[in-house]
Amino acid sequence: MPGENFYTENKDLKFLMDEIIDWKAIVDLKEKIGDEECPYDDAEEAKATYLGMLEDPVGDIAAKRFAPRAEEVDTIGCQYKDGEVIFPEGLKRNLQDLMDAQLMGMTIPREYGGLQFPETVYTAAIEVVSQADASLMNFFGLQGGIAETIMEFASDELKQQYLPRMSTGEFTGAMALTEPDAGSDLAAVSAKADIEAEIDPETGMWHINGTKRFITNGCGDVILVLARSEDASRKSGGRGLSFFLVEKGDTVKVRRIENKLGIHGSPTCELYFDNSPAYLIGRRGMGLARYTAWLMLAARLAIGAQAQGIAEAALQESLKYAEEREQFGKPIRQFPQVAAMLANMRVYTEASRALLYATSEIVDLHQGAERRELKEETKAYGKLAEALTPIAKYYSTEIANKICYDAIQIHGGNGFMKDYPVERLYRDVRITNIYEGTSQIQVNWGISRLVRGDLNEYIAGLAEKVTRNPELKAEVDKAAAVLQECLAFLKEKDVGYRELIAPHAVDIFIDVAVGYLFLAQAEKWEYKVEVARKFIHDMAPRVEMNRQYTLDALLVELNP
Amino acid sequence: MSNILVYAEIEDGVVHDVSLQCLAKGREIADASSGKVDCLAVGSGIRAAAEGLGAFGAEAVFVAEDAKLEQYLTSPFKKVVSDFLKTNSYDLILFPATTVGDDLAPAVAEALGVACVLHCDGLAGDALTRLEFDRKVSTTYKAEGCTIASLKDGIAVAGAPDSSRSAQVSDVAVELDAASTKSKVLRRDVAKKTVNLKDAKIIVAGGAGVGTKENFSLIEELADALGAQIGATRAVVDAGWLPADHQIGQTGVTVRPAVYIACGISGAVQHRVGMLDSGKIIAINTDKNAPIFKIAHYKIEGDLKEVLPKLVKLIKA
Amino acid sequence: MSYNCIVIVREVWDTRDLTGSVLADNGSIKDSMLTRFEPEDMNALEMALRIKDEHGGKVTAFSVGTPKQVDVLRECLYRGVDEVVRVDAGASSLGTQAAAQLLADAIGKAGQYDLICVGVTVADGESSMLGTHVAGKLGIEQVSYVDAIEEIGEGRVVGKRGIEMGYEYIEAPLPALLSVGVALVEDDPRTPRSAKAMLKLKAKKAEIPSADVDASAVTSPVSIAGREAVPERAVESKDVAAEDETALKSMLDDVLKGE
Ligand SMILES: Cc1cc2nc3c(=O)[nH]c(=O)nc-3n(C[C@H](O)[C@H](O)[C@H](O)COP(=O)(O)OP(=O)(O)OC[C@H]3O[C@@H](n4cnc5c(N)ncnc54)[C@H](O)[C@@H]3O)c2cc1C
Ligand SMILES: Cc1cc2nc3c(=O)[nH]c(=O)nc-3n(C[C@H](O)[C@H](O)[C@H](O)COP(=O)(O)OP(=O)(O)OC[C@H]3O[C@@H](n4cnc5c(N)ncnc54)[C@H](O)[C@@H]3O)c2cc1C
Repeated sequence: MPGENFYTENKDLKFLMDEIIDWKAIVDLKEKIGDEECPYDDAEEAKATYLGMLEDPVGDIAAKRFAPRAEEVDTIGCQYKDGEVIFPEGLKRNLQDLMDAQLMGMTIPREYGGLQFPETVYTAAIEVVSQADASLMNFFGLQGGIAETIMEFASDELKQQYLPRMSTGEFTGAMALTEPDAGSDLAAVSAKADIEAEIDPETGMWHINGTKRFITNGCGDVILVLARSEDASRKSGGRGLSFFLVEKGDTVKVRRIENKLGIHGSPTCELYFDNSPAYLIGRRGMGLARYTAWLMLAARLAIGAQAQGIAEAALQESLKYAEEREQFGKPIRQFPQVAAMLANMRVYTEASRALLYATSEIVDLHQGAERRELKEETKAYGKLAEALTPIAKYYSTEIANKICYDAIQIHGGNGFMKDYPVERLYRDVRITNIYEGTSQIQVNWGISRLVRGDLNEYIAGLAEKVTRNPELKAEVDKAAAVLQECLAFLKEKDVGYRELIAPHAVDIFIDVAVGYLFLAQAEKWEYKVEVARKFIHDMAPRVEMNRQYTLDALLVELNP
Repeated sequence: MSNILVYAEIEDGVVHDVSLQCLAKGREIADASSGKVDCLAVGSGIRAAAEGLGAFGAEAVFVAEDAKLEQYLTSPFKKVVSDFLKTNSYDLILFPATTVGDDLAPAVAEALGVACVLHCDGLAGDALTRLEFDRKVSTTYKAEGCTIASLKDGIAVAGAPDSSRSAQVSDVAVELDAASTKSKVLRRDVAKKTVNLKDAKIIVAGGAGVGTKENFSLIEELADALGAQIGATRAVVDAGWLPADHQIGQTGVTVRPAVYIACGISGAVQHRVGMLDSGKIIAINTDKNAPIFKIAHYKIEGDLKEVLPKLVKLIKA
Repeated sequence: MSYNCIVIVREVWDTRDLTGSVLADNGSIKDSMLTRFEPEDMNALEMALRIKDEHGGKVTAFSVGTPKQVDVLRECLYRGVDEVVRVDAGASSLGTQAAAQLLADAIGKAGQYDLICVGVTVADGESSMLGTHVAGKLGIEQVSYVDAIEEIGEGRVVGKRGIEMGYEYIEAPLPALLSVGVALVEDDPRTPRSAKAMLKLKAKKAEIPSADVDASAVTSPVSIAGREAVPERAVESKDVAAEDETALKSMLDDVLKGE
């Protein structure tokens, strides 16, 4: 019966988890099998545990509890009164359910009360939760990145102080980077840390002053803050920024919450830090380059998964509606254009999912190698993770927007009404390609890595894994050649030109990568041969178009 | 030879229809095997109704009447029924599959140490059948020795009373000890039903297609003309056109009238499960593809605002 | 005051979304049929766990079956049950009354308890109300069709019992058995709780102890004599033209004949 479990009913996600992810590689790096503390006897058992958890509790509560409350949470939304943020009843219950199910510390190490699950499991969990209620993801899905940042870079005392309570969900987190005048350009951050006052020698505490804007869950308990700690005359821009942990308290004021288009169940706060005591995390001056970058990488994967979940919800709603709704004496899904829209929605939902989980797998391997202190692997996987994450975030969020657009189209006039969930999905999805870096910022990152050749070996590796369906593979190989042609061309171009055509060149890369990923999937599931055939069939003209845009871009400024 | 006892559930001085169905079914089996059918009624203020059971085919009626038995509770009722059965032997004891019957039947079976099969849809000889697996499988149970069973609504048609028949009525002594009076009913919140859809022979049901609360007068007129009860879909109840006790379906009541007239009802599965077993289904709908037509015996494609007055006119003529 | 609660849980056939036939050619239930945690038992489990959440105490789950059939017990551990006990039924399926006997034997040996909760269900392949039989064998009071516990304390429990036209509130002395219905939760979709992730991690390999009872010593007075597929219901339907009064009239005559 549909609507009972959002994990087991999601055949594609389940297939990726069952058949595609190389759990052994991940488990070998991330767990110490044989160690007394390790709860698994082998990788198989670890896998069974991970996937069992996605089914119950994750898939179960998402379908049975979060989804039925989503409409109410959206309609009532978060409210603001006298400096306090008031959650809608449904959201309070959702948070309680997440705590009861002991899911708030999915990736936090067991020694701090967490589950110590790989990013890939967490990504899947975020997708499943977002399918039910995208706004809830901003509690569930950002917790991981924030906790992991503390885990990686904070002192042991801070870890002891905060991680166990983040694992239980008693504490939720926020990341305060954006300011009124520092959005995409975080190097412009101006919140000040202790520039005048001295560091308290007793406690080692810093103090932060300034305003942060658009802070998701800014009313949360553990706030990671990017602030200027260095004298601007000596260290300007990004090099003057450090990373801090501030605990909720009287000095952290929520000045207002935003009245938004979507994700009404997630409060977006304006914060004012009034000499707020703060712990320095890691080293001074490394706030942006190292820690923010690290945090953003984790959060971007999470936002990709959020978009993925919304896309899945929109697809399911559309399939259902197109079956039920009849016009001209038959269900509308039988009309060629509606059928084509539905097929495309499915293909591209699966395409973005393929890239998203291929990326999460790399992120896991990178983290594992880093924890094992394997120098070579850490470097290699790190390079891949940094290049793939922004591209995957860009693709998932843009695709999800398209899918929600089509979902409304399939619903016709009904889709425009609040009576159907697609209306909410359409509003919620719109933030995904803006926050944690807009799509423009993501492809800027992506193109710089592509031109540097960071993903060349990766693509070759994907191609090598394909052993069947030679005609289809030949098509993807052709596109791969086009990609190399474009990258060679771009090597000679300046940054301005590269950023201008970034979406087009990145799209070619995505077509190539997804083409190979689909073909690899097709060797494990017959159904995927058709998916690959459709995707590869449609990508040829797209690749050609993007090639022409890339090689011959025309930028004009029009002033009539 | 089968000697059968039927448990007569009596509420507000009326024998429950399913108990009458049990009696009709018991009569049929007893007649075929030259056995007998008796009834046992337990409660307070039940005598008149119990005496009437003779007209429905009971040979002997036993009445266990006591003010302490005013409201149903497992232990005292179990005590009375099992005490009775310790001195009176039957091959088969039939209970209606109601919240009372299904509670009492296994409790009595336990007290006597005999077999128990609940929710039977069929009874033939010693074979008790139940529809299982979402009505896809009929499972036959066999029991050894004296058997207690509960029978579901629809097992038989409650016969019409035959005033030429009467039963020998005798009283059963009620002895309640401390052990059987440990629990108590603190209170009952029973909705004063404005309709009794379950026992209705004819139901005229309206859906969202009726259009407005005022238009329900069309439904009322047809119901009046037919002596029928009025049912509704959830859409109608949600809209506030009728109170909730009119709702038929998954979250309303399940009905099995002889005739069900669905007016402006699309036939969503949640509604269908509540009326699927109606004897004859007439559906009136402007949409020829409405799912309700898939289960209707008579399909009238048309506007209910025109069809209903026509039907009223034809009935009155 | 804390309470020791017992829940009885069952793994039953999953009859949601049944398509095609349930029976194999030889009349037995198809191997491909899936099973699931009996949903009303899940409600009973939730009821017991809520008592523990509110008042403290202990919850012990019992289930009858082979080691494979009692996955439900592990599910109970994942949800916060303190102890589980498997009651071995031997090779064949027992029937409700024999299962009740084994359960009563096992519960009798397990020590003091205040409350037993079990789903009210009479499932496919089961013929009677398990809870009522267990209560009868243990000689304790029972209330069936309980949708919620109104109150527990001072040696008694008040159950809200769903009946045909509404509810009644029944007070029973402890220890008592409650057969639990479906409508645990009305206002909010708080279905019975899901697994708790940390518990699941910890209990995934927990040993499931067996009760010391003898399945060969019990017999069932009821047995399954056979199963038959029931054909899909087919309706013979007639179109009646809305404007054709003669046709409408003859339709009315047809359906109202018996009335
Ligand atoms: C609901 C919501 C929640 C948020 N939560 C958080 C949070 O928890 N923590 C936090 O720190 N921030 C948060 N943000 C802020 C968010 O990350 C920023 O809004 C986002 O990074 C974009 O910054 P901006 O709004 O200032 O847009 P701008 O940077 O002003 O961008 C405007 C436009 O210019 C484009 N642009 C800018 N620079 C470039 C460039 N170099 N190349 C090409 N195009 C460019 C952008 O793509 C965009 O189209 C949140 C925002 C919203 C709306
Ligand atoms: C968990 C759950 C439980 C539910 N439980 C129940 C339940 O117990 N009972 C229940 O009924 N529903 C229940 N529902 C709701 C059910 O899904 C349907 O929404 C509902 O039954 C639809 O009611 P309807 O047929 O009146 O309305 P609609 O589906 O809107 O149908 C109206 C029909 O009227 C027809 N029509 C319109 N104008 C005219 C006219 N002038 N003349 C003739 N025909 C006309 C239309 O063609 C249409 O077929 C439940 C739903 C859920 C999710």
